Amino acid sequence: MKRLNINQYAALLMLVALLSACSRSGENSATSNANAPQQANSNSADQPQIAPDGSAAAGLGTALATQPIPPPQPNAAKPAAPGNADVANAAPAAANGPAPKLVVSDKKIDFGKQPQEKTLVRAIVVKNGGRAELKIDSVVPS
Amino acid sequence: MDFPKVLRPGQAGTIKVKVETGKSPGPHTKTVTIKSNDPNDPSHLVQFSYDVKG
Repeated sequence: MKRLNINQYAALLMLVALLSACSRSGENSATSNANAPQQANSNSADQPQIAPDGSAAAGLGTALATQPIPPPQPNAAKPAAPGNADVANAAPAAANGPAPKLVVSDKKIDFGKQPQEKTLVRAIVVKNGGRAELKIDSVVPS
Repeated sequence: MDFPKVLRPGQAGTIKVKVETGKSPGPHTKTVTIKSNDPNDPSHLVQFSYDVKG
């Protein structure tokens, strides 16, 4: 009976050892599986020529190659930038609002040949072509 | 010089300019500067030219 008990304890110990070993191997395998894809992805991304299994690995490689596609997002943002620029350009125009505009009839006036010591008088027509009140501060000869 | 101080939108006015030819013969050029609150043309120049007979 004692031998049987010892054998039973030994068997139980073996079973416990096996179970613990199996559970540890399961955990290790799970962690290794969890790490495996990352390593495979990183390796395939960094070194695409490593692809050991042919087409499947090449597919992963292409899939990883398309991941960098995010750069299109900046491209998509670029068209938005001109739109914002247009808005920015339109904003100052709206901020300025209506403005006056001085319109003068003549830029150059030629009196032609004139005698000495004569006073020439000329009327210049000015008009406000804007949408706000035009204020003339001064008219200065030079 | 006589000039309108304020012009409403669409309103027109006149600026009377007097130029004295003087004694020196030959071509002369003078300018008149119109200063206003026009944001695009705050100082508008008008040029006068004449030739005094000798």
